[in-house]
Amino acid sequence: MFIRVVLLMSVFSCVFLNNLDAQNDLLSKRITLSIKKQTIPEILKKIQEESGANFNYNLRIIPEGKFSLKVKDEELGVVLVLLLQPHKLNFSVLYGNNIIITKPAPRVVKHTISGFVYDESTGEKLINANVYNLFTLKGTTTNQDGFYSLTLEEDSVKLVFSYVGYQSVSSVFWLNANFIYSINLKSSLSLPMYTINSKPDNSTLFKPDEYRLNANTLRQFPVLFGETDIIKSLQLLPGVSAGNDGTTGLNIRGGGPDQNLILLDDVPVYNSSHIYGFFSIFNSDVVKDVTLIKGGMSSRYGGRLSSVIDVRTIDGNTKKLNFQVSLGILASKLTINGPITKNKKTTIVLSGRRSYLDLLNSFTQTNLFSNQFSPIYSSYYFYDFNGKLNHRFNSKHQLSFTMYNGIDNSFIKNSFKVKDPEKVITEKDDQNLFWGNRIASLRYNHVIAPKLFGWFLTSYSKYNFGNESNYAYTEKNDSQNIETKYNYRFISIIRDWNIMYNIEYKPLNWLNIKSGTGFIFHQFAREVSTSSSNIVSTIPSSKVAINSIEYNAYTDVYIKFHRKLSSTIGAHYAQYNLLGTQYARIQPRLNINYKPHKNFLVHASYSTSMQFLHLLTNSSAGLPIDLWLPSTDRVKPEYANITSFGVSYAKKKFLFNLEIFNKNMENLIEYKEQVNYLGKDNNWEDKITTGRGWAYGLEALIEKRTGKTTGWLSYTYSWNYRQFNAINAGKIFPYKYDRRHNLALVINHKFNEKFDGTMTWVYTTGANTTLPIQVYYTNSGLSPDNAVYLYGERNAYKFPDYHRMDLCINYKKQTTKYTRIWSFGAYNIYNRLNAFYVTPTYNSNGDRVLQLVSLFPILPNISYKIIF
Amino acid sequence: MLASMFSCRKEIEFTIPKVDEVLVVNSSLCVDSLISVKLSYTQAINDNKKISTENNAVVQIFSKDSILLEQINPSNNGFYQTVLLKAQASATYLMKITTPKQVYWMQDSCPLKCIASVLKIDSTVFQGNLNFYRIKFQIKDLQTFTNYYGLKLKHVYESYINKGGGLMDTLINEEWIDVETIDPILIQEENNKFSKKHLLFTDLYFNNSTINFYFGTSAIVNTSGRKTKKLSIELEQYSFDAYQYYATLYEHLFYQNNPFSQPTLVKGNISNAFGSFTGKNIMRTTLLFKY
Repeated sequence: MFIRVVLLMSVFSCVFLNNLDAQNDLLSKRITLSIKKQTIPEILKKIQEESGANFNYNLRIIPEGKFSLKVKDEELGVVLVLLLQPHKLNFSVLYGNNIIITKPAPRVVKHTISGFVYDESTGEKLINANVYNLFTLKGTTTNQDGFYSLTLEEDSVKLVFSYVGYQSVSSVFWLNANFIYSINLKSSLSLPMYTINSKPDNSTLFKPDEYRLNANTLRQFPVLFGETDIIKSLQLLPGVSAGNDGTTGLNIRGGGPDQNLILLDDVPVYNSSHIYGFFSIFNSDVVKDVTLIKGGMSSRYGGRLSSVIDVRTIDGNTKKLNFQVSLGILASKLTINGPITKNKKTTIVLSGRRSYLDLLNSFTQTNLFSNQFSPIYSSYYFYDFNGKLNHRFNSKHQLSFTMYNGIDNSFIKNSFKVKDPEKVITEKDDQNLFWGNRIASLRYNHVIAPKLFGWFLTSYSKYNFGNESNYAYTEKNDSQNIETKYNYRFISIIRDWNIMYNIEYKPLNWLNIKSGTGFIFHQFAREVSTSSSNIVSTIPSSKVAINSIEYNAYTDVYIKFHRKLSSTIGAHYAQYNLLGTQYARIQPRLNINYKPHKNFLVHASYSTSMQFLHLLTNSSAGLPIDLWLPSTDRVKPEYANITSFGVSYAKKKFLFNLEIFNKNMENLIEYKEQVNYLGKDNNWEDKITTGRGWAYGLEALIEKRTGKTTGWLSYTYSWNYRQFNAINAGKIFPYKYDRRHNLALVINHKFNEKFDGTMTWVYTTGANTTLPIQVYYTNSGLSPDNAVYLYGERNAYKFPDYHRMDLCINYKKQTTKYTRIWSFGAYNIYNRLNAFYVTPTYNSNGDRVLQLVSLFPILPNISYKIIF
Repeated sequence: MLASMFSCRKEIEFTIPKVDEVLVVNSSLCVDSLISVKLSYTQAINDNKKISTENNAVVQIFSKDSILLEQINPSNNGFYQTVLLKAQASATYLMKITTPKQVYWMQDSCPLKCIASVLKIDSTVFQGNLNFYRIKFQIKDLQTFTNYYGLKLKHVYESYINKGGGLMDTLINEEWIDVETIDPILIQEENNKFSKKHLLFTDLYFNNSTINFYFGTSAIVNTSGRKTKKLSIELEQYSFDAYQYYATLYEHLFYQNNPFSQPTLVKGNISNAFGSFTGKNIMRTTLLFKY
């Protein structure tokens, strides 16, 4: 008998058993049992009756004693693990319905399976896909590059690959050597249910401090002005509070919008919005995956206090070249994505987006400032461009070049020409306010060994804002030619050059080490240049640049101490140097997960972080006048520590998560009370003050991920305060976006193959505001009665509560050649007048009153997208 | 832009706490003019009654050596003015205000006058306006310390109302108009974006030297209904306190209704009271228009 088994095993060890559907079906068969105090052979007999499997084993290896087993609608493979693994017995499927039970040899041989998980239709790598062996329930997840590494004992293996929004795939084979195994997953219409512990090593599917939205999920969100906005989608998550109506500011767990590390393919982005904060810069056509990390962040991340928003763009479709055209109310975009070589190893992604309010304005000649002779028109436009060139040398090496360029421009133009018998006069006057990001990066990924993955990145990131005035006047007549020119340009720029190398080493299934190091060279520059002739005086041009260097290194160690207990321990070290001033600190990070029950997870995290760059803002709305400033000898780096504790419970269709958090922040900066705008002043340190902040609260989430109707309900109950010695007479005041209650409901429903819809409803306590409480009248030299308002305590008043409902219906028509999607919807469907700000004014009776100004009434929208 | 396209407004009520009223001092300390001050009090934002004035104060003007120069007796409308004493350039004055509740002290100096003149006036095109009156102006800055300036244009025009029967009523109107310029001398300070009718600038680029610069206006009219009669160019020199007061006042007014800003303070030079007691020296040049 024993010899026969060995022979059979040898045969199986020679080949992969990828397509042994019969065996897969057998182990996937679901059974229900309730057995009390019986011997293992008796229990196996019951299982045999329920499942039809035949068990082969040597009685000598079966332990004596009586055991109990209770399972309900569970897969046979899982049932056998529950029964046999405590007794260190293995099982494997031989042929047909035959299962052999063996006792492993004392010496254990281990092998590593590694590879990538791809989307079958596009060839995109899937981030955070689950990979586990059903027989032993050992597993892992793919990293940010879709790579996984799993070390298992030499044995038969049923490797299961699963990913949110994709059909699971499993493969059965005999593992007797290290090998690379990559797989394609097919997109599914229904999302898999949440699990915390139904597969013991699959718990990473839900990470309490981390929310992940992939391209499929993002498409379901309502659109504003014909554009799905990633940042606005994140505003619907617990612990995240939005800024003003329509803005893309994110205040996460009491932090300011500058405290979020926003990464586009690992490159920091300084301004993540277009149109003064109404649109995010992230083009949803090229976004593959967005992760929001609110706490317990990996040691890999540094430089910001509150959170990480990690945006990954697509690598490019390896299967076919496709085109995507989207037409919206304010902007349209075109995306080209696909292979550019015959072997399909090189792919390209090109996507451009442009608003056209200025073009409409020039057609209609809406001349806000027009005069009798010349149309002077004022308008605005933005455009952005994403590009990615990706080359896979083989399954181990990949090189990609990514770039982004985005510009916002608000302008006033005047072009004038007059001819009379005596002379010809021409005049051109352009005034521009502009800002934008430019990003470029080169990334090299390589699988060094089955257990070791490395990636190198060098990047350049630039954010600038400025204003420019160009004036030209010419007067020609028979005798002379008078020409006058004037140019003025002010520009403030922050540039980063970054180089880093990271490795991920997984020597054992219970141990995963991530480590890396990098340099960032920051440059803060301000330039004023003028040139003129004739008409005006000349002032000297100036150019000021301050350079700083940041060095960082990190290590994160994931340890699985026990089946129920795991932890990630790490530290991020950062050292910052500017003009002889040095700041350095080790920032410890700790995450602990404990699973007392298969559906229940208890988690806690602690992290500290440092921020060397400060954003000076009055709006929290992402305006171009918001200034990034370096830490100096007078302005110290911001520092925070964040603690969170929570419990999660997942039961098939639903996930419940409850979490409490506490965050303390030091060295925050604000304008002093009498200052609102730094302008071109180089003495900015005199205009700001530093202080502290703290926030604490409770977050709750209920989510349903399966069925025709999916969605979530999130709720945050929190407090958020600031204290600056030079503001509010040193008294503690609530942060502007201290929202006691913050609730969001998201419901997606799929009516049929053609129609689906989404409804979101948000309710929050009103934002805080500072109101004038007294007034006096003074002489300005122009008028004797100028009302000067005296303001009460900082943020002492609250706007009325904010609530809003958005709807979106998508109609999708798919043919073999193309897919068309019509989206209809409305923002603020019941036309709630939410406060944007409150201002003192006079009513029709001449009485002084406070007036609430709301930004968006109901806004219907329509967009059209074609993919071919 | 979006706000102007879509925004909606409605009145709203907040419970405003009761705060003690504070004295407001609106003074005039202008070279070669009588010194005056108007005393009033702050008012709750939701109080729409008439502003209360301080009619029972005693106002005393002292030299910087604490010699009493003149005492002004109480008035019934909160307005107090010297009878004889006129402010003089480079002199420092102290003002003491004694109200039934409190005593206030304040002081400032009157600046010296610079030499300024109009060099040239012509009509040209500017930002699409055919009838742009361009003025070439010169300042001789005579001191080595920083001088603070303000430039204003007062437009005086006649307007005509037809009373019927061939009879016309003529009205004389005055208005402060925008100083239109792209000259960096005048737009050097960020403050200038807060008030185009009152450009504030310093001698940063012409300290103790002579500078020429350009500005103008497209407000000059000559139609059947309106005719420009005068254009008065007012170049004012300020003490530092006056300059700071105007700069912060215009900034405050500019940001008053701005949702993207925190409120700003107006910097006066009086302890425990609002307003200012600040010196200035005005130089006027008037251009007459005849048709």
